[in-house]
Amino acid sequence: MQLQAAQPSPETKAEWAARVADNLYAASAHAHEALTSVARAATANDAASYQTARVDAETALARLRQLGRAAKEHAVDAIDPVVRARLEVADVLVQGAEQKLVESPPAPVPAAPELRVRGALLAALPPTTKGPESTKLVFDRARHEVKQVLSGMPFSDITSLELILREFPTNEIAVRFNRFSRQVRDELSAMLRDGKVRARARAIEAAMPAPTPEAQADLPLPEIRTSTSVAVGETTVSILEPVAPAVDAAFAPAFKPHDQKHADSIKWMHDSLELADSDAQLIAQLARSYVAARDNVDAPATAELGGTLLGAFVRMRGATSALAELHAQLTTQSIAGTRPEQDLENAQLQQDVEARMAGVEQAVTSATTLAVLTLTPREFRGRRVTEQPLGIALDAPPEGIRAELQLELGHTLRVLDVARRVPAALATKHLVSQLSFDAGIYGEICALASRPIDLAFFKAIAGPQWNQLEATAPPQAKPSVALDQATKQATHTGWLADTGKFDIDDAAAFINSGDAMTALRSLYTTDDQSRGVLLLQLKQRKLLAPFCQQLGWSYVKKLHDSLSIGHAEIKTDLQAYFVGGTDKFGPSLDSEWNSHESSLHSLIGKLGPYGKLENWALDIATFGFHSQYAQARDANTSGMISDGDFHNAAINVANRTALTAVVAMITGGTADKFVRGGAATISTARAIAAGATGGVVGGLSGQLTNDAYMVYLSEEKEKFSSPEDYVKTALMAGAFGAAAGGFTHLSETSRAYLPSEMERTPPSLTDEVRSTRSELVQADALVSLLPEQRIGTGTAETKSGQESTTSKATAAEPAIATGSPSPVGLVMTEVPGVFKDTAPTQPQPPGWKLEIKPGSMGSKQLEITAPNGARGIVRRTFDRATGQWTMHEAFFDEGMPRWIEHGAPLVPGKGTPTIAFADMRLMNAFAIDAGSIKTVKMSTIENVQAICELEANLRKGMSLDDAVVGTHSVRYARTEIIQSGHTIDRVRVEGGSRTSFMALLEHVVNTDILPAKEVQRLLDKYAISPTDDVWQDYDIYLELSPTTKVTK
Amino acid sequence: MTIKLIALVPETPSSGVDFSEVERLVAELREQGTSAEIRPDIASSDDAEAFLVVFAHEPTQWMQELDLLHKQQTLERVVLFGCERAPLCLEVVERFTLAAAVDSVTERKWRHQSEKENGYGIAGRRDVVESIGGKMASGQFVTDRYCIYGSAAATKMVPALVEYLQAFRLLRRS
Repeated sequence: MQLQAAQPSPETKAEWAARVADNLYAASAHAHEALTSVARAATANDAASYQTARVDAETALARLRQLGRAAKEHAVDAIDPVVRARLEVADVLVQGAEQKLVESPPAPVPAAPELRVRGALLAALPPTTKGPESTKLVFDRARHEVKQVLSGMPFSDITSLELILREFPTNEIAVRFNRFSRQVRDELSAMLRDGKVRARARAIEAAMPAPTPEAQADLPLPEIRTSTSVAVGETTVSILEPVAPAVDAAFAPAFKPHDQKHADSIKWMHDSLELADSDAQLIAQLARSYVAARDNVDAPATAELGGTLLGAFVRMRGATSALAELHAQLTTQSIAGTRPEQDLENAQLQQDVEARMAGVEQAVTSATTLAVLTLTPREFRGRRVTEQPLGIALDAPPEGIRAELQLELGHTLRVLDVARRVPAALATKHLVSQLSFDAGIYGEICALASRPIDLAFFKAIAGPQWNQLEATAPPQAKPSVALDQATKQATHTGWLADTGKFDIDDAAAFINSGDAMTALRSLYTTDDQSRGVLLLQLKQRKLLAPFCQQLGWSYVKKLHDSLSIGHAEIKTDLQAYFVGGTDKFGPSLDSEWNSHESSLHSLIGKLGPYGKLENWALDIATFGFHSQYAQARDANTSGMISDGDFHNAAINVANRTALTAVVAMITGGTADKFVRGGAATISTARAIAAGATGGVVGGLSGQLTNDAYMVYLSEEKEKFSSPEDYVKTALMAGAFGAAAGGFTHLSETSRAYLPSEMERTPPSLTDEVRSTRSELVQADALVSLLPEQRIGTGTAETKSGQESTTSKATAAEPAIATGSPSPVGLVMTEVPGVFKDTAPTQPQPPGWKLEIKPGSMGSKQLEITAPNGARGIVRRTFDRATGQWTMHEAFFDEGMPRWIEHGAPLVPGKGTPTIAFADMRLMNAFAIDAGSIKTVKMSTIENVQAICELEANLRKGMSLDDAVVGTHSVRYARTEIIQSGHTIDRVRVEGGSRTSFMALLEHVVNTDILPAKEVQRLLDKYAISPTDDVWQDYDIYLELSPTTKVTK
Repeated sequence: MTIKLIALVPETPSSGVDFSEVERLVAELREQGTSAEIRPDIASSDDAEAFLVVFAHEPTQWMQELDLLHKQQTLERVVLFGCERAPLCLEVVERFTLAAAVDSVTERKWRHQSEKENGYGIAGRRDVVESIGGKMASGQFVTDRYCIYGSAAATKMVPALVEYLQAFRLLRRS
């Protein structure tokens, strides 16, 4: 009898949703990776690779679309708001990939090769056009001279010329060559094939001098002033003295020879990649903690975690920028090192960057999306505060997103602060009079209505107190009335717009009565984003012209400058009132903009509501740069110092600032400590600054990276960027190697919201990067190993003849706990009936043929034939005396279905992963009782991916036993282990040897276990060379204990 | 001289050996000019002039129970078909001093995806492989006396096996 599938629980649905989210992001990463390959192939003019990459990209996009549809269906099931947020942006991911495909460059047209003797050949060949010079004499001379050129060509030119003549008939050389008569052409072509000519050409080629190395022209050392103190509020803190040698150490590489500079730049590029990568992961971790703090209405922790998240975001984007810039420069350069080891290291680092860059870019995009969705107060305790679309913009430039994130954090804290004070207000029955309600809690609640989402968020937090407030509020301050008005307002300006005290009808009345200034003042109570929208509304009502005409150009210009990024239409309209004439601001917008953007105050003025605070924080973060630069600037502007003096002063300030930032990097980010002032309890505002400052400091060092490259490698740029660049970087860029930000310097209060292992042992920078990197590697591997994607895909694991894995174990988690929801959506708890219903005594799954045959040495072999004809075998033994389950081998044909639907499903609607089903069927065939296996042995591991993962973990300094936990060999076995009533207590490795990878790789390729391309991909991914020694042929033992006493 | 092969099939139907695959192998061996036949996997099926093809991970029980002299003479004519995957199969051929073995990966490729099978994956004696100019693998896929190799001439497993066995026979007789 067919068992009816149980209705999935909300938790199960949530797990599916999480899995879909993970798959969605993995598919998105794959799509972007493929699209990057398309662009790369186009850039390299590689038509064949282009076609392959294009097909791959379109396939990946199809998969992404499919998952995008699934994401919409599963979004409602997500419990974790982060998961839900990830699912809800599926369209953005799909559209992003589609857009990138649309924008991908066309297929390359093969280019003719370049000839070294091109000039000589063109000088000798007959002219293109017929004319007086087209005489026999001319052609005879041409023939003679071409022969001379051909006889002196290097060999590479001969082959290139043959190619041009054969495949590029429109090339000038071919066109002019073909003006010769057939006879001459044959004669010259025969000459190219002549053995003596070719032998001479080879000799010429060999004798050609190697390219001369670039001149070594080191710049003189700049003056390095090791300032020893920084003013923090009223205190002076010494920071440079103890680490002064580190400053020299940090700068020393900049003055090394070219090859070393090149190596340093590659390393910086790689470090930038690592940082962007780890920060993207950090944001994901912090997002959960932030949401937890917010859900707990813990304003200080929310502030600090939010600020930290903001800092991580800024740092991540800066690292991404540094990466992009260095990558663009370095990939076009090839500077030989003085040592082969250095060349090899450079190549390996570059390879790693190439292999991971697309994935990291996608991770950065995902983290950006996550940061925006997390910091927008759209949910409270997992429930949406409004069902209406919020119109969150995810496509703004980084600076715009940073500003938005900061704004959202500020709004959230404001709401939390009001909500925090509500119980006290209600308890004291603090009812305000009609005349003074503005000062009371009701006034503050009504003020939240200027931004609809804020009031809706407040209502969600207030819960039952909302009704109490409603009952006790004065008539003009009823929260429900304010919410109704806000909801209506949202239909015009959106849920996220803060319209402040602006009312369009009132503004119209003021303008029509000639009082534009009052309208302007109310306009300034709105946020930067809303202001642009409201100006557009004024324009639609034909009020913009009278409004601007009544204001002077300086007011219009200020209004123009106050708008956030975007609003192109309204900015163009406004510019007409202050650009163009002598009576206006200036002759052109560009000149004004340059001047305006050079103004430090203007830049700082863009900081938003916490501008003052950040002004102070920036001064700390820039180690005094801000004020010192401003003083120099002011002195110059007022004519007190010359331009040259100002320039020198500014450079010195910038140098010191940059050096100090380096120190901050080295010391593990002291800047945030300054901002925190060392206090155990910090204010909300300070908490934000503490978090954000980390990113700001990092931004400066990110800029330093670029400068270091530009100055000491390319030498295209003298000394450092302008000080403004540093400030801009501080505002919109991120970090390079900075340890500030992240979770390393959080207060105890905030750390309480972090996952326990992070909270217990705040890691050092190295550990932090390592652990997040490790997590990423494993998560990345894991996503690709989810049952839905892995089984029957014809990938390495399905064809490998070795074991494949389906569940997660982190390197930091050697003892694996089961029975808890998996962070990546795997089924981590025993589902009743799954193990029992895989028994061979159960009917065959419809359309499947599952045949258990005895194997040699007491093994049993399950031979599988799927409904589509795909076959597979799984061979196991069970030693009842020792309780050891040995997994010998498993093979699946390409096309093997991923799931078997039969009996109680592991995942309702899908069934049970085929490999897990097969394993459990064999367990049943051996009459193994649930929970009775003591040890699982996986013998002679030769799976390339598993070995690569192990090696990568070993290189991080892990022990062999710890390192193997993160490999997919271990992850794989978990589903059947859990479903058969076990938990894994310990993982250990026995046997094996550390020998060259080459023999195994050749073997797997020769046997077609893995295609060479896949082998190369894995090697690239884990930065392993085929000639490297790796641990292989080892046995893995999983020691189990029972989780159930249920027997079959 | 024609190579003689005997495909030994266990008498018990529950052995797990797919008889149709045995028939197919024998047919392909015959196509290569050998004299191949199917017999029950018992001691009386043996022929001292024939190679014995055993469909298991190790030699049959009766072979292992022979006296030392006969055991050695018998085992060195045994070809394991569908032995454990390499390099484990090398341990088996080395331990029993067998003629050759076809590892499980190659066997399954021949069985289900013969169009992708390329003749690589036979575990044979190194001296024999050298005599036919085969390309030996390296590392763990080579032991003291045996190696996994790819034939220089044959691009499919069955012709490669016949080529090897012919050379094996010649080398042993010389």
